[in-house]
Amino acid sequence: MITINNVSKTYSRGKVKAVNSINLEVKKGEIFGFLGPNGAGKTTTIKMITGILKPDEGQIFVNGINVVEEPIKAKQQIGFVPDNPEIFNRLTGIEYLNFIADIYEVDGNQRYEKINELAEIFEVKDALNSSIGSYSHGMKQKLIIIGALIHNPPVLILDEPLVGLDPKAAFVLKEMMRKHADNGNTIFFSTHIMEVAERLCDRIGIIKKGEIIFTGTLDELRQIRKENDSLENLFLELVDNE
Amino acid sequence: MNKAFSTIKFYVNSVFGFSGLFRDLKYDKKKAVKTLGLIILILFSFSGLITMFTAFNIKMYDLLKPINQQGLVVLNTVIISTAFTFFLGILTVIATYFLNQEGDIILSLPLKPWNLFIAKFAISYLSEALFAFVIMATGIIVYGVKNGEGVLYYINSLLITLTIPIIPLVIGYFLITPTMKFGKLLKKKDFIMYISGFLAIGIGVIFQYLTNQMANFDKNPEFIMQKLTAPNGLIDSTSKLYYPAVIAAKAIINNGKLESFIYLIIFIAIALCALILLLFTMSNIYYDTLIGSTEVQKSTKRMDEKQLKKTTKKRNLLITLVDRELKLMNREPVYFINGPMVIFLLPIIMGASIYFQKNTFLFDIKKVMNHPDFSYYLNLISIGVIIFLGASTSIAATCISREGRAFEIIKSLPINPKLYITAKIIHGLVFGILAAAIILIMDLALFKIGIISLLIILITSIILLTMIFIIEIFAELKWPKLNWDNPQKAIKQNINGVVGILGTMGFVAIFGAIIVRLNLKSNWLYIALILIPLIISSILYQKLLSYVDKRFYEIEI
Repeated sequence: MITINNVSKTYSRGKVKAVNSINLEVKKGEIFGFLGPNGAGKTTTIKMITGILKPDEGQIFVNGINVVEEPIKAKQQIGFVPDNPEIFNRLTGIEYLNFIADIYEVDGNQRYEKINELAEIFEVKDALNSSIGSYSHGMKQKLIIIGALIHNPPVLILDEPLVGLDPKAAFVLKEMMRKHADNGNTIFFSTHIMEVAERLCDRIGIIKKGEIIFTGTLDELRQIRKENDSLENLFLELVDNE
Repeated sequence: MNKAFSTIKFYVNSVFGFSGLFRDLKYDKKKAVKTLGLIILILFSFSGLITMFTAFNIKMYDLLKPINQQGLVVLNTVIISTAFTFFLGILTVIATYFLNQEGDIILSLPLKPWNLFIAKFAISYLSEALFAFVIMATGIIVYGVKNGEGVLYYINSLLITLTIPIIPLVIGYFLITPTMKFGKLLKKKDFIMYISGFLAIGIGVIFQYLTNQMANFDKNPEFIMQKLTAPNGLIDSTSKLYYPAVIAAKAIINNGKLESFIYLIIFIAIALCALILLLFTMSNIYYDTLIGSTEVQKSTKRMDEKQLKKTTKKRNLLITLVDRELKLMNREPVYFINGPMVIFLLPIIMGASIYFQKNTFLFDIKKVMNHPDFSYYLNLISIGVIIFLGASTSIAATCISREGRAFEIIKSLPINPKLYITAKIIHGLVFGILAAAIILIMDLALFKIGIISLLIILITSIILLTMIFIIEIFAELKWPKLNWDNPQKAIKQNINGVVGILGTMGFVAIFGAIIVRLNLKSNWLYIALILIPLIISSILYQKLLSYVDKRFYEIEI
């Protein structure tokens, strides 16, 4: 579960307000899609949930643990896929996964099974011994996804996870996200692909210029807009009109 | 032509960040002051070189004036400056051959190969022009002041100075570009970086030789001068080998005469012709190597089930973190060459220095070995050298900056900041111990030091290094440089790294001076050198742990 209470974040010494007093709650067993135009504050919000950025105001709880006050405990709950897969290029794939597994204190057997299973599914097993620098964008993305799932996290946070993935890997990831949520875990992800959000999310949140302008199900959005349109059209209207 | 200028502007800005500096001067004065401070510090590191060359030129002028041959000071400076820009130029050509900014986007733009080639040339030229300027200034100012030359002389000299690096660099590109293409090196960027590292050792050794020659000048100036100025002497034979140097010198010396102007025009024309010839013949080959450079090399070592099972073992967290530090530093050539390799490089250069002076050195050594306080001073010198080597690796002084944007990944993981920072200290100490081992082996081989001395040197230097590393890490946590697009910026253009090396040099020098001045000769000094830094390190380590616990979460990119 993720709870965001009155969270704000500014950049350039308070000159640019990236996120303005937002409130959100993402429940257990739910896939929550976070939508918004470029520069709306999606990545800033995600970085605050994962402890990369510190909120100027407000509080964030991951499974009831305050991210700022107990960062290590809170991060133990999270698996994170960033928007840019540029990671330790000089390590090999297997070295990276072992590093992540050590940090999350995953024991030998569990990590072997998880790496074996996920590397097989995402078709990167043959590349595990190569340096990450030689991977394509999509392969790096797959490796990061495996790393994020290695400790079976109760909260999975993904920033634009489908960018760069081939259709098969994208399908596998969507299936995995559904299964992970059905097992009682929380999934929070940002995307620009409306069809994915429409098909995959239990609820969505729309952010614009640092403020949440809608949270709820797609049906609730349709009721508010009094239109039975696609999410794409509803999103465009909402973002343009608000 | 416009496209070529735009490409040059883009390359120069992305490598040197001039426009960033001008923007900072306007909007972020604090950042601009930091950048300017770094430039001043780098210039300061030339101060030894400048003093040495200036002193040499003054003596040379005074010796040659009576025979009216003082113009050789200028010719000699032109030759040295050309030689420097040639040898360092080759390193620059290799180091800048593949730039990170130069990805697929640049290659996809409708630019002619020569546009890209001249832009790359401009980058190498700018760094070499700085070197040429520094070296030329030492001879030009000495000659100008002593000969009472006017403004025109300095303008003339400046134009010549700015033209000097062109021909050496053209030769450098004529050598390196086909080597990259036909030596099939274009896919082995790391290999190229290591080769340039070894070339740097070679240049260091040559520089050491030159320095010793200049140092010997005092002992026998007439002999050295004869070696330089005689027919078929060093200056004569070098100028026969590279005649443009004579033209450049004549353009400066005959100042005020029409002859000077003609020589200036000829020198510039030769340089420009050389550049045009390079662009004309090598642009396409260069372009081919650039295209080849974007191909990725993949390992074909597949992992079977058994290997996978074997590698997926849980490890102690601190070992994991230290292991990551070691791998990331040692596998990135830029980090390795400017970091851990210094430990091997400096002793080799020191060894070369001893070799070039072997006759006097062995004599001096035999003399000092009989001195009653020899072992006492040897211990202190060894400690000083180990500290200097350990700090020269820049491991601790750039430990946060080297993470770059991946620091965000580190922050998103449940890593205990205290453990994270302890791993960084251990990483520095691993190479500190290695430096100690190299120096101790040299001490054992050359001076047969005893076990007690060995232990004193080892313990003292490691404790002092720990203290220095902690201070450096404090600075890194406070002012990390995480926003970079090229690893060179994290280690070579990082003010913390430069201050770390210069600061340690200063610390060792001041400490040495105090010991010599006060004639401190007591075994209590060892006890003080162990106990005081030990107490300071313990206190600082505790302070560092509580600081990192807070600061780790505050650092934002």
